[in-house]
Amino acid sequence: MSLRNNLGPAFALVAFMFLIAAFALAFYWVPTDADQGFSQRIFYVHVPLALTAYACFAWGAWKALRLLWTNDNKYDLESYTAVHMGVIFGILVLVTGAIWARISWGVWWSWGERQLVLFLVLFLFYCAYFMLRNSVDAGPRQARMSAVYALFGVVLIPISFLAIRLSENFIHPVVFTRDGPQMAASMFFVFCLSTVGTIALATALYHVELSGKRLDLKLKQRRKSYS
Amino acid sequence: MTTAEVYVTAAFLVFLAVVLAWLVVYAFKMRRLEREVEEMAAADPEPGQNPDVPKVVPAGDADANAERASRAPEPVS
Repeated sequence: MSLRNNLGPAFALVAFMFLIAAFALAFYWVPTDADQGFSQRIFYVHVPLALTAYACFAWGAWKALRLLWTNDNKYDLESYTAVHMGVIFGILVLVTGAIWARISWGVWWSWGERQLVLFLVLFLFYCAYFMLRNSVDAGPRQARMSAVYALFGVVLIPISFLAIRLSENFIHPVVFTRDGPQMAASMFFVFCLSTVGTIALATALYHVELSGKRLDLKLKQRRKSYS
Repeated sequence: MTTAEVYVTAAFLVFLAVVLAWLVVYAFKMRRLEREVEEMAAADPEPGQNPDVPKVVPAGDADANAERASRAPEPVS
């Protein structure tokens, strides 16, 4: 078995170890935030999920660019899988964010917050990716259209990320400033553990899903050649 | 448990639940693919394994087709 085939289980193992450690430390070791109290601990799951969702969309856009650059259709499935992972992690960001908003601000959602609304726009943009993809017959045309769409969406990532810093009236906290992370070293350590674990989890799921989709595609092609 | 503890636990459990749901969905999908591969293999063995069935080569692969033609037995007249 090649090293490439071992990547999925290796990442799954890293994800399992890092996430178990991060969640245990987040509950029992890190100091309680003076401002938000115990509810601040949602930070250790919410922010890594958001960064992972951004990374998945960016990876999907990179694969889309490779497809348009090289005209190699293998990148289509990779881009599609990355966007799919990004949407799954996007759902988690929205749900954990809503839970955090409810306990911290007293509301599940605030339409006045640019950061929240822009993330929702990004999420819905990539949800529409699947509608576009499924509305076109499978083939090179579908691959190219999906790639162009995935590439356009990546523009929203820096806007969504910077929205909180560009906003003047916000209640969403800013933790990472030009002076570095505004938190204790132990908090930052747990945050890093959780981020690495979440990205490793996304990578493991990406590899499994990609293998499944490749097999599915091969079976469809084979069935088509028989009929 | 305080209200804050309930909400924090809920956020972590949502994460776990979605990952588990994904794993269950994918386990079913992999099982379906495995079954389809088995059915296909049972219905039609791999062309390379059956000496009576020539290996399928793309039409454009001239070298392979030429090699296959050279190995083909002479037609019985």
